[in-house]
Amino acid sequence: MGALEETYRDQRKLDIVFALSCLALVASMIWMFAKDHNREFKKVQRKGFDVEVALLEEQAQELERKGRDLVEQAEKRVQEARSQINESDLRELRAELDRLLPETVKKETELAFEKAVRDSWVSIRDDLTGQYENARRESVRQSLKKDIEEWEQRIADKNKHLEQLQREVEALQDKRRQIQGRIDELLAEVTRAESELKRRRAEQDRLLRLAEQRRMTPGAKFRAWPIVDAFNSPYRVRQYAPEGLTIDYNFKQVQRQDRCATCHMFIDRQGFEKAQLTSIAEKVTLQLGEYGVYCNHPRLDLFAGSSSPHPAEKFGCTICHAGQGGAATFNFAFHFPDGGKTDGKTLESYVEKKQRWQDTYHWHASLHPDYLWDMPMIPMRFIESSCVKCHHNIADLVRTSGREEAPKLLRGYRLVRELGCFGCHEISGYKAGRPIGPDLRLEPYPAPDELSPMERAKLYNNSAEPPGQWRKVGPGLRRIAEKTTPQWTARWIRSPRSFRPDTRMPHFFGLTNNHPDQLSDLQKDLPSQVPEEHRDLPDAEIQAITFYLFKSSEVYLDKIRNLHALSQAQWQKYEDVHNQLSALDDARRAQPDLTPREPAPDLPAAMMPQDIVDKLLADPALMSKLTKDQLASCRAYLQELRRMRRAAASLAEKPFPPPELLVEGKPYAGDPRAGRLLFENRGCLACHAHNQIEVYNAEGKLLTDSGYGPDLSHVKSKLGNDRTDAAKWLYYWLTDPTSYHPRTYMPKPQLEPRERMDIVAWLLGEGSGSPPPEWQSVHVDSGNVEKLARLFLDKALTKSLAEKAVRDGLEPEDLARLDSDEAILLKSDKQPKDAPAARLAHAERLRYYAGRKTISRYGCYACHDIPGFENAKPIGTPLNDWGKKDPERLAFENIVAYVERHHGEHYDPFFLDMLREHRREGFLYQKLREPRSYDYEKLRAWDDRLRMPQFRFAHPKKHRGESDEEFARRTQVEEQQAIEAVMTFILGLVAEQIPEKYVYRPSPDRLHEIRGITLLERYNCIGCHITKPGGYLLQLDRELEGQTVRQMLQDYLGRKSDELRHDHPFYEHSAWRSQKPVEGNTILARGLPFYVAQLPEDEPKTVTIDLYEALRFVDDKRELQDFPAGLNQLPGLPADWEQFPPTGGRFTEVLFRLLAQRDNKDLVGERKALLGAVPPVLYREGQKVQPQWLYEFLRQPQEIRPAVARNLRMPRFHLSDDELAALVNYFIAVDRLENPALGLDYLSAPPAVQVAQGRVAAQADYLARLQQMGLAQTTGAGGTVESGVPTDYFEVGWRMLTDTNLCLKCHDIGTLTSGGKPEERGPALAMAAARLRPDYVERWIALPQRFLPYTLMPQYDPFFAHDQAYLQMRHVLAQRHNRGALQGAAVTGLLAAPIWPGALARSADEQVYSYLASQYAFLPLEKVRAVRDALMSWGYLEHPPPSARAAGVLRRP
Amino acid sequence: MHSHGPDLTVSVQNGLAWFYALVALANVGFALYQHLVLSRRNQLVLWVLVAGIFAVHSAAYFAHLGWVMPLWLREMSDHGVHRGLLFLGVDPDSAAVVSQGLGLLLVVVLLLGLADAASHYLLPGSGAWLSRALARLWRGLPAHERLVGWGLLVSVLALVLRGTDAISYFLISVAGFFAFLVWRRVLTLPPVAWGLLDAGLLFGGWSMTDRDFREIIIKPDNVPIVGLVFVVGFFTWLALRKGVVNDERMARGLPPAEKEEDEKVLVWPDLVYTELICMVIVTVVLIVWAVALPAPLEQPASSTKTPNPSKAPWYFLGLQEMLVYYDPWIAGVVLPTIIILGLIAIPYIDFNQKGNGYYTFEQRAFAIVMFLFGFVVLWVTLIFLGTFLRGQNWNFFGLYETRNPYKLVPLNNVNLSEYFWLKGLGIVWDRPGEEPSIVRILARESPGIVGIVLYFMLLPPVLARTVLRSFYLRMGFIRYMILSSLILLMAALPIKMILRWAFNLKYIVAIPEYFFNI
Repeated sequence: MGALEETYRDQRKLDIVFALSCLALVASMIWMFAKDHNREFKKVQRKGFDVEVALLEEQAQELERKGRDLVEQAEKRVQEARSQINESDLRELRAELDRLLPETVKKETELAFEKAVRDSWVSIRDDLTGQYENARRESVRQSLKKDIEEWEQRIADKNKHLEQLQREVEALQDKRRQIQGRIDELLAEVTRAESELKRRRAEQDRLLRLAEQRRMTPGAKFRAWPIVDAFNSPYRVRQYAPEGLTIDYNFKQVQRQDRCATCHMFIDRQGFEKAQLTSIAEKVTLQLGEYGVYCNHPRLDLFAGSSSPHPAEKFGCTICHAGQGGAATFNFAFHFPDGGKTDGKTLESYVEKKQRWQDTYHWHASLHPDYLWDMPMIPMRFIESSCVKCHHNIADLVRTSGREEAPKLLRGYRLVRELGCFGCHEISGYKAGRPIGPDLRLEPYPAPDELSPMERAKLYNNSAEPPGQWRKVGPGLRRIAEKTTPQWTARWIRSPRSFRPDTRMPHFFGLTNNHPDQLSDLQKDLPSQVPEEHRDLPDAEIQAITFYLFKSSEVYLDKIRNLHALSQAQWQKYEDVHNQLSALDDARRAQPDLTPREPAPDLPAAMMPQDIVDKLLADPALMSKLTKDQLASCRAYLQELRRMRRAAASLAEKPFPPPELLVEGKPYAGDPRAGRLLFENRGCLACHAHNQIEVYNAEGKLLTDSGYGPDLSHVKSKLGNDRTDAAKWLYYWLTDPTSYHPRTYMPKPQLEPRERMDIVAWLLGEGSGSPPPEWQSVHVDSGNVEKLARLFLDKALTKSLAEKAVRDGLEPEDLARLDSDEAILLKSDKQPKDAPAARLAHAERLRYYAGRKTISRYGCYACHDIPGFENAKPIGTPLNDWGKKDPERLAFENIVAYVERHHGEHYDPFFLDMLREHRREGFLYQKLREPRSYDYEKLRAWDDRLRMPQFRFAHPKKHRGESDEEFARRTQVEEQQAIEAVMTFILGLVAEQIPEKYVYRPSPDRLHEIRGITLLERYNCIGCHITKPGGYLLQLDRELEGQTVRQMLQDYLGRKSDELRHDHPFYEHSAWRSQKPVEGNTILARGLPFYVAQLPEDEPKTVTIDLYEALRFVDDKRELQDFPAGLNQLPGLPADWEQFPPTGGRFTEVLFRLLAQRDNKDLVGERKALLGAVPPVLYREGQKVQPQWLYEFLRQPQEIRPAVARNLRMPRFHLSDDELAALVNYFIAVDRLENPALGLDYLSAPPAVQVAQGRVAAQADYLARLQQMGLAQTTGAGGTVESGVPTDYFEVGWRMLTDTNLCLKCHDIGTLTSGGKPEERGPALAMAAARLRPDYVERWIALPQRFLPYTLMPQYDPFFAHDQAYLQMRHVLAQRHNRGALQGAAVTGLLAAPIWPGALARSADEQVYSYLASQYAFLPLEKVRAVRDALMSWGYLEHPPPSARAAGVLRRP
Repeated sequence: MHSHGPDLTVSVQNGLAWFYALVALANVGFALYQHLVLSRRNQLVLWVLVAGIFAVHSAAYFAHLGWVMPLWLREMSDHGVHRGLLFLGVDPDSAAVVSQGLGLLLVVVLLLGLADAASHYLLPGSGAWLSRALARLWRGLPAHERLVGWGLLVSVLALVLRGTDAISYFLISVAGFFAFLVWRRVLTLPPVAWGLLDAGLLFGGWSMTDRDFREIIIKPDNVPIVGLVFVVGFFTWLALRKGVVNDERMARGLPPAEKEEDEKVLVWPDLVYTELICMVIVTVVLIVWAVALPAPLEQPASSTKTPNPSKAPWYFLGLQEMLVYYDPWIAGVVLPTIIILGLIAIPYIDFNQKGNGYYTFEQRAFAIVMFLFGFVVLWVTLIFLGTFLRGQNWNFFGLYETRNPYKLVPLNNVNLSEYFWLKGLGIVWDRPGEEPSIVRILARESPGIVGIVLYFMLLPPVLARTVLRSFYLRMGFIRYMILSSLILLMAALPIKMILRWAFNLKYIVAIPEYFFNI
């Protein structure tokens, strides 16, 4: 079999090849395992285990280090305690105890035995009794009965014995107990010391045990070996799969799987703060980047922590941070570098961090061109944008405490709101009827407020997409022709900031793509961005816009003048037609067949509604021929007429000077100085700035820079040079702004005519500065409007028609649609009757047309109400889901080249990279910075060029003493910050469908609060009022001036214990007891900082606050202590402890400082009086006032505080009913949230004493009490007054109310006036019954400072709370035979207290008695209640008590 | 995104250095093989010299000298000689003159080639003088070799003139393919083949110094295709080489080489052992591949966001390229089906009994040419084209061209009916806003329909009479018709490509009303 020996290939060779290939296989396997062993996350976890063990050990050691003294102390204390025990006593006692023991046991045993015997006897007796009951024979019964009696006797004897025994046993036990008690007493200190020691050791042991547990077991160590670790490794991928949180891949929702915690192992663990990690940095050699890996979430209280509102298991990571959750490697997770603190200390810039990442991880912004992830991790600076996904309201990110959890996002949101971005860019909160984000849509035209309730209801009925709510941010231009001149307007349009540097109006002109010289110095070698033939177009645009605005305004004014002039009968005809049309509409809705489908021949489709209405007036029968569309348009037209007529008590018709200003036939000219004072005091400064009035705060920051309304420094130049016209306009504007522009936010200032004139005189006289010098250089040439018109016409019409239109006008048949803009250019005789262009010459029509087109192009109507653009659509890109817009759909054009050429080194490298990598952040940043720069080096037709105007987002003002360079630098930084804030908001608009359960659904209270916050901001209520105190973090362990904060608080409380004894603790109220749990060493104090004149230059910045809410802390003895509000100020806290400033109240501070300056008052020492004279703090307003009153007050504010009213008066806001209700609900909601125990309600039920039964009950209760004390023998009205104590309950209160030393001292009560100085006077009490809530009144009178630390109202003696003494005295008083004893010295000291007149006319003995009786008949709190009830029943008592009658004040307010 | 990194990085230089070192080593090995095994001394010198060239490269890259491919060369490769010269510093006028001269030359060569082919094949008698004269120019090459030569010249000129574009790429691949077949005896010689491999590696090495080229080549997805180029090249070469050797043997009257070893081999160890070794090696390759080029982690596909370019799996890129020229229903449905059916049909069509169990070219020339044309030219080179040369928006990009997503290429293509009716006769069949009736459509498309019908009905009988006469006789009607239809269908692709390039022809039959376009 030779064939078997011989093979085709050489066996040896094959063996070698096989061996080699096997070796290769082994090598490749080893490589594979090595690679697996060295997977990124395994390396991270390996170190992570070390970090954890090291940290736990470190903490245990730290605890030991820190606690060593304490443990030693505890040990020493144990020893001390032991040494102090009298050993012989103890021995003796113990011996005694031991000696007693045998006897006790013996007796106890005996007792038990005897009890058993007794029980057995009882059973025998029971048995006999049973037999006796059943026995028939009498003899048996007799004998049984005897037996029973015998046994009973025995049992009774035994019981006696048992009782004896029991007593003996108890005596013994007592004895023992006593001895034991004495032993315990002796050992008490020892026991306490020992338990303390045990506790200290236990914590340390726990940490050490935990560290031991975390150390790897031998088994785990084995499993962590290379190769073995491929199978059941202790290192494993940890993932969160938040249920229902998906990634939208269009038609496919992909479940998120976040493996971030694989490397960020301790993200949700307490004790892994970066600061903690630094303590073990040496031990485990932590590199810079590793702090971020091993630390926990910096806001564990808010995110990731299992007890936080966003636990990681439920929410995962990528829903906020984005990035690729499924990745377990650094690069594939799509991390993105952003500067910041990397180890808790080192600040790294973006460039440094990027470099480090590139070095460490081979990181690259776009990793690999093909492996893209649509949502790379959000850079930290924009992380707040993710909040929008679930917090659609944005305002709900402001906590009830006033703390803003996402300040950047909130700022961006406010900027977007204030600058009116939503005018051009739709920001709708709804998609397919589902809420998806913040809703910032413009309100429809006409505004819902101006509709009838029926129409409004119809509008709001659409719950899927209710109408928008936001007014246009710019002033209405409907009546601009009355207000200013075309020349001024044109220059303003050209360069608004030249006139008013901080105007919100952006620049449309003079930008890189429409100013020939803008880039000329930069690109000498490149052609200009504006070719020669387009150079006069910007001016033409401005002229055309101006022309259109003034022409249409004049037309509008004429129209309303005509409507105003219509006689009532003529007007009634219109009304009739309108009513008939409405009726017809209803009828047709019921019977749709009635509607004709085709327009009737005599009512062609092209006919304008005004013509149709004219026809209908002539022939109402035509009505039934109207099509559906025609009917609707006619109704709309008539409604518009009605609105116009309502608005049109035309200003032009009003006389000037107005009759109310005529003094003896001569007009009052106004006093500029008084005007200035009014301007300062009356709250104008809350919204407007003026360069002649500058108030700085302690840090040198300008306060008179509200930015809400325009700066009025140069208003004179704006209103034109005709002084009379300007004064007239301004006067009537101040009279009622809404009659001029219905949607203005400016409230009615409630000024007297003369006051108005004073302000006018000041603003147009001394108060008007000349505009900034750059304004002089703003010029607008006439431009070539014809060329401009041609641009538009060429697009709309054919070339020949366009020529014809420019030459001599169009014929109707040239136009496809008669309502197109080109209809303006119809020949004069072809114009529709009411058309605005009808009375223009052809050249004017051309300008009018160009103006209209230009306004459409730039979207001016987004911010301004312009006639003819009522229902125009926004021109910008919708921003509803811009945050996830595909960057490929953004036109980056030549932006990188532009930025590199134009800005070079000065551009933020972060954003430059973002632009290079074509990320949305880069696009948006540059778009906001220089919107037109995307046209750089693009060949574009004039009207295809970018239109977004150049905004300025931040308007910083120079600080006191700031140099120009510093200011310039700060301006840049602030602009950048503002842009980033706006970006944060826009990037958050992703329109993601988050499952219902994740979306923030506020509780009803919170919803009210959120709505309220929005309104307070919208109407700038917070310009005047502080609505929330600020927040200050106190670290109890931190040392301040040689003692810990805890110690300071404790000492202070100790010193104040006397004062606190006067207090009635209302435990359920946050002013006395904090409602918040105490966690750890950090507590939050809430209060208002002191306004001080100027901060010291060199000393560390400190802030002193008045506490507005009780502060709860744990003292040395581990007991809860409450530091009540208003007790006194918390002294000099480091300013960096401020967490959040008070909400609102800029004007409060302005006026505060102005008044102090004017009256030369000390800011700190006299702050109470000063604060009493400025707009009140609106904190606790909800628990204070009755809702109905607040509603009415907001609708029509009146004077409340005389001290405030000297300076200012609340203006009347133009609020809708819904808004009024929302504001009222806000105040109630806030207090419900802050003080849940108070049981506030939203309804406004009258206080109990205002109801007849309530009064009767109060009276009965009172009499019962008197009787109980023996002070009144008979009951009934007007009963005996034996003790001098009134029997009428309300009399008690009234007496105190009218006591000139009490309430009447400062408050007016009806006709009784206090006569004090106005600045010291409180609100008139007459309104209290309608205004205040009874429980608030009670707490307030008891101790006003708890609620308002700055109030001037003191706590009066009768209301002090030494309850114990009172109770004792009441006891004594009740025992009549002790009367004599009352004359003792102990009580006479109390005579200083006030007393009412009736009590004096008695004998000395009787006098003392009756006085004391009257004083002690009530607990102080009961007196408070009596006052309260008297106050609350104001005007409701049928039979006023004698004192009130005598005073003659009991009249319904 | 754009790549805007450097052409050369440290790691690229190191990689290239190792690469050149390995190639130099391989050349040394080849030289030693030539010397020791085949005892060819002159070959030793040659390949040692070649190895030296590579060694110099290796040293240069180890020293980080930063050699990169000159920009003008890259520009020339991508955009043609004109741009290349400009980048070389030649003034625009002279560059224009050069490129115009080359263009003229191209036309002349093309005309000469056409004349040669026509005089030889179509007018064998009357035009013989011309073909004789041209044959003298080609030093007596036979006609079909001359034809390939003309083709090669034209395509190289086109390449130089226009740079790499779809046309020159396709021309050069067709011409190269036929050149390889025609001059197979020389080109398959191991030293020549080795030299070609060396040239390819050198080209690859230099090209790697261009970032755009490198980005595409080293993309893990594309690595198999780079491998495919070498593997297909190797096996094609192997088959041709063996065929050539066998043909020579058979010409000398010897049996094919395989017949000499026609002995039985043992299952163990000859088969099973080698299979085991293969298994191990394949496992090693797969492990190494998987570890070295791990699959990237990408996001789930989104229906609204498609990658640009959207590429099919690499093995379908040939099909995808067809989509450029044909409607989806043809390129995506009909042609693939017919390809599969045609491949199934091969054993039933094939009547040639020769070539079983041994390599040969001459005995199966028709089958090999047809198959290789279909496989290598119309499938593999199109895969290569689709992978490396198609970029964003399915635009064609040169080897070194930056993938610019905003590149715009006008596609002013015209239907045959428009050529015929509108441009030729001035007749418009479609009225705007009016739905054309079926009759009108058919009338409009009649030229195309007639053309197609003629192509498939007339050509087979013509071919049966002329070129494929012997086939028709031996195969019978049905088999012949199947064969000719398959061939015509295969030819339809290059024909459509040429029509598109030459005449901007969009569709031959265009009935968008019924989604029927050819």
